[in-house]
Amino acid sequence: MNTAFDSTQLFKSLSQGREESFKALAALPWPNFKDEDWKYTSLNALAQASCVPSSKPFVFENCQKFLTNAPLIKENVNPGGLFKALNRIFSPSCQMIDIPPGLEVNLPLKIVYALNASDNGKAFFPGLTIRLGKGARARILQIFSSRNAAGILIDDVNDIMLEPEAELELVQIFLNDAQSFQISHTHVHQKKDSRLRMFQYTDGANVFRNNLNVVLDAEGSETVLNGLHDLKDIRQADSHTFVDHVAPNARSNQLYKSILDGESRSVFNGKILVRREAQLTNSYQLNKNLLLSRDARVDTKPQLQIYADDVKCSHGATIGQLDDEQLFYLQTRGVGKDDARKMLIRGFVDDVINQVKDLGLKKSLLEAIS
Amino acid sequence: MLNIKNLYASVQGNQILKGVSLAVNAGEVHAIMGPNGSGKSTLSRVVTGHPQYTVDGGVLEYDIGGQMTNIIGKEPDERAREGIFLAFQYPVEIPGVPASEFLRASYNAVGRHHGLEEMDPIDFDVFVREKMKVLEMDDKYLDRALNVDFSGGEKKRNEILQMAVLNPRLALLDETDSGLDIDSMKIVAHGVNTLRSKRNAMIVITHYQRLLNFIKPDFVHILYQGKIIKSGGPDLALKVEDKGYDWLIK
Repeated sequence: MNTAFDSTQLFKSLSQGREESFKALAALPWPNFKDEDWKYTSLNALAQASCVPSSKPFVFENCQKFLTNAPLIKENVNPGGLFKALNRIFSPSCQMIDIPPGLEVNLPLKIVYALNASDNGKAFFPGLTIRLGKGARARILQIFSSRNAAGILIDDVNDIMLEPEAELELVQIFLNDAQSFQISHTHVHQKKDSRLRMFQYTDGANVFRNNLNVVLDAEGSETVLNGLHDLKDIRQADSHTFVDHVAPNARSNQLYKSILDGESRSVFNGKILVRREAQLTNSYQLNKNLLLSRDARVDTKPQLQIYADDVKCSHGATIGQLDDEQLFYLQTRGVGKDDARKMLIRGFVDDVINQVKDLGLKKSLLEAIS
Repeated sequence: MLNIKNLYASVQGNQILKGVSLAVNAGEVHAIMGPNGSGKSTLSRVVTGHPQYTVDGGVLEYDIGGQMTNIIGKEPDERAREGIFLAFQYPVEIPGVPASEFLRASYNAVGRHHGLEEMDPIDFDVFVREKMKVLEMDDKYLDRALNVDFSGGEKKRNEILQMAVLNPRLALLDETDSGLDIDSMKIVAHGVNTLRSKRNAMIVITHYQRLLNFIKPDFVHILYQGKIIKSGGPDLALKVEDKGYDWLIK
């Protein structure tokens, strides 16, 4: 059954004291499983949530001198459905990091969004823009840290613009409470010969949705997208990636992995679009899932849409369990069953973690997830 | 050290071992030979506790702290920590787990059980490289994922390296010679022989007599259709090499 957004409890709670523009969203459909984008992730619990709008800024380390409050980069604001519209209403301006052309920033920049128990029951709509000027290089760690904040909604939008020859390595870490909601949007626009290397980590939430869109708009651009869902209990995580090959001669590579224990659920939906002009595209995508429990569930849907005729593309997905022979082998060497399982799980994530190339970023990632 | 009496065991409902009896004492090397499908690998898996194999009857005892103890039902890692080791016929590949890390975890797991202090990574590195020299193993081995993209010969050497690191009381070598050329076999056999002592015992499972030229057994047993049908000294292996198994079977 389709209901409208304004019939949800969430709408009522957010609308108090908000301007007309919010009311304009009222008639938009509330996503349900009939909506292809929300087929495997139920928003029923979010619809029932009461969240009072609130705001809190990102906190920056090592990057004060690059901060501005510049308006949104217009060309990067695509229409993006209900949650993106909500973000723009509640967060009309956003914080921005602007790295000047030609500058190489050696220290990893750190951007933290921290919430705690005093934020319980609130909704947050942070907005962030990162721009790297021509030939600039940077490494950035972005952490959403709300372990102890229950019943919150984070609806964030991150816009990233890479000018020609810019190089960014970005690690995003999402650490939520099991009873929280996060709908995260990251939109990347890459120009000629720019490079992005990205890693996204989440251990899930009541509802966690990651929308990552990358537009390869000019020749020679390259994007490497990696992620890990590390889920247990009744946690859930849903990553939707979309790589849009607009220009010829660009490369994209994706590796997303999930570990599922308990009654957790993971969704991966990866779409690659190779437009007619995007000849000589190289595009790869792989989603691998490790089920540790009979009650966990994975839905994975890699999609390729190719309109150019001279391209190299592949995609795939696997779902497996711990291998009994591997466990036996480790046990015959004296390693206890639990430690053997841990060793195999670490082995499973090893290659995707090693996709993080900057040692400082990797250290921060390992600390956050240990 | 090991006492097997009238042992019956099955896998996936098929009974493979049908009354095996075998006694092994410290200091002894036993060879088990037999045609394909006679139950040689099953025996090694039952002794080490593979979860897919069920013991249907008989006695399986091993010396723990001076007491012959029933080990049926004990986890493979418990048996390993008490000094039972299996060199696999087909060593298992473990992606993402560096050989060095695995070896140290294994060594420390066994050591902890016996009240030894854990070895730190630097001391352990020195300790392992010593052992690697005997087996003429490549330096890069320690950084590689366990058994992944190892050649057949490298995998077998790796098994013997693990044996050298753990120094087991009872080692079962399951067709350690298969897939080895003669030079590699000599190196592996040399590695095994350096580990022979009065305090430990070995069971060498093999198809062919040639490995027994290098690892000299005290006893040779012929396993056929889940039973030991003949036991003897080293001569028995030579006779089998010469005449095959037919004369024993009929």
